[in-house]
Amino acid sequence: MNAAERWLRSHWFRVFIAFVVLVATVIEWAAIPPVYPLNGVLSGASIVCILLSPFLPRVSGWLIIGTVVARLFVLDLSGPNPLWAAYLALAIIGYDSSIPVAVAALLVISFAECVPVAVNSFNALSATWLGLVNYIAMFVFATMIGMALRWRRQRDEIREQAMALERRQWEMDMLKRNIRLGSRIHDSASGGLSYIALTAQRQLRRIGDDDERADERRDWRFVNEQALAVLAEIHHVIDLLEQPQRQRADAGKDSVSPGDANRTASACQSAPARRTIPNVGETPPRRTTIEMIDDAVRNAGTSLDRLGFHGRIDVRGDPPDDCDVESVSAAVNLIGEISANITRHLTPKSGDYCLMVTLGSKSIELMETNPLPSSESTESPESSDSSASLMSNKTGRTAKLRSHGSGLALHRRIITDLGGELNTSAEDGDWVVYARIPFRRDASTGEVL
Amino acid sequence: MIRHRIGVAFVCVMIAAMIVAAIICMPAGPWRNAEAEPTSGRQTSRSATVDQPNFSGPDRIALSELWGGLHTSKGRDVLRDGSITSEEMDDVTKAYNACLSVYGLQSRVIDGGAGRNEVQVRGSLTETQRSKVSGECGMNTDYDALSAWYYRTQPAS
Repeated sequence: MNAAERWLRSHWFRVFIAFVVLVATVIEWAAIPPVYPLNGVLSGASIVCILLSPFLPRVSGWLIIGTVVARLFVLDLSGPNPLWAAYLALAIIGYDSSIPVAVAALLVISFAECVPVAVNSFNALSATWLGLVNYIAMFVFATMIGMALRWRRQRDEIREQAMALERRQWEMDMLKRNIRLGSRIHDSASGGLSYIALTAQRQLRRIGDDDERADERRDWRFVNEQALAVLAEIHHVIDLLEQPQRQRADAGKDSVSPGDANRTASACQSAPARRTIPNVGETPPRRTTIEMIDDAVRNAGTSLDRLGFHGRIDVRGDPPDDCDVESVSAAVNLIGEISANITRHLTPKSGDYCLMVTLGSKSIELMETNPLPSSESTESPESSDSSASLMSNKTGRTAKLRSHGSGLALHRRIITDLGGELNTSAEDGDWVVYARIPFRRDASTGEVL
Repeated sequence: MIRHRIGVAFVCVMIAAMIVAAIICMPAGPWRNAEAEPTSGRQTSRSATVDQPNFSGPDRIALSELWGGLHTSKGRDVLRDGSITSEEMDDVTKAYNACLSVYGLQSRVIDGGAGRNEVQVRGSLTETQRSKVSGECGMNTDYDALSAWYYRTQPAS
């Protein structure tokens, strides 16, 4: 929308009433053209002022009043009726000027029209004072309409300012809360994770390059990498919390949700550097889409393998070129959640897991099956959280940590918002997770293609 | 601020100029100073014999009398051929209406075209003033004389 269209949208009513008055004046000019030249000049000036009224309302309004008053001295009633322009002038002065100025304009017109009545001239609006009252009432009405519209505009502006102020206050409150939350997360989690990482690194130094302790070294390296990756993610979340609302709305798109592809991608790297992915709504390069899926699958497989779980993860198909990064990120996050749920609810002896990732032309499908956990486990896999870490004890049995309780439910909500579906079921002793995530969302309708 | 003051000064000067011009050009008496031919500004002296054509036919005497009663060159041009067409009558009517419009009056057709009367569209003329204005305009634009002849010679519809 260019500047002219914006101006027209905000001033359409001025243009409309000016157009109506102009049409009425021109029609009257055509029906009864002015006879005396000066009357024609004043009538022409009045039309020019009507044309300029949307652009120079106050100047045009006062000039119209000038022409109306001047025409009272011409003693020629031919030409367009000056009352149309007078009503317009009073309305726009009432709208654009202060109350004293609007009242002054009203008084000027009213007293000027009183003069012909007082001297009993033929060009008086009315032969009697009583008749003139009706015209003055019309002048007052026109002025009051302009003033009423101005008061309404001021009321709307005050209301908008109050809403903006309230929103800013809410944002400030949210920012304070988030800062407190970030500080709490930092104090409670960062210290412990740092200690875990330092302990793992100290153990790695103690073990050295002894080939006989290769398995132990691999395990400590894994612990170190996981601790560093989670620490980096927590720092990122704290950064997001400490940003103002608007900045977070933009910056938050870098990371679709806590625990996104970045965490998964960096989990197996020695340095937990964040990976740059396109913003939500953008289409990542096709290679990036494949890399994100492959990284998520590789990391999930590596993690499960290191914890002693057996199974297979297959990726097949070829994604299209125009994939939304939001959809790909949702798939990556779900792969990480499924991997975490396996470590949380199963033991290596429970059985093999199987995850199949199919990249279709319109959507990505994930199908995961694993044996149901033993009866002593009362928690369903869906009601757990990926943040709960798990370590094997000496017997190979996993030690449970308290879960958050909304793991797959959160993913289901995200996937449903994207137009996909996530279903879980227990069939014939197996836990089955199925998800379908469309690659693209239709921009015009919001529906997913 | 300076721009605002310049705008106010401009508006004041323009309003003052318009009012001063109107006062300077204001005729001393609007009734008698209304021109017979406002659009041309020419006032033709009454003359019964100037350029009088030689009318023929049974109405030659009546036409000669009518010619002698005309006040405007336009009226004489209309009557010069001894007949009045509807287009010529429309022109005369327009001149008549232009004269009336100065006083806020307009003529309108009545009785299905058999005649006209004057209505007030603006201003505050009394009935007496309205009759006076109508008579003056009818005489000064030759509308009264020509319309009477026109409607008398037109075949009944």
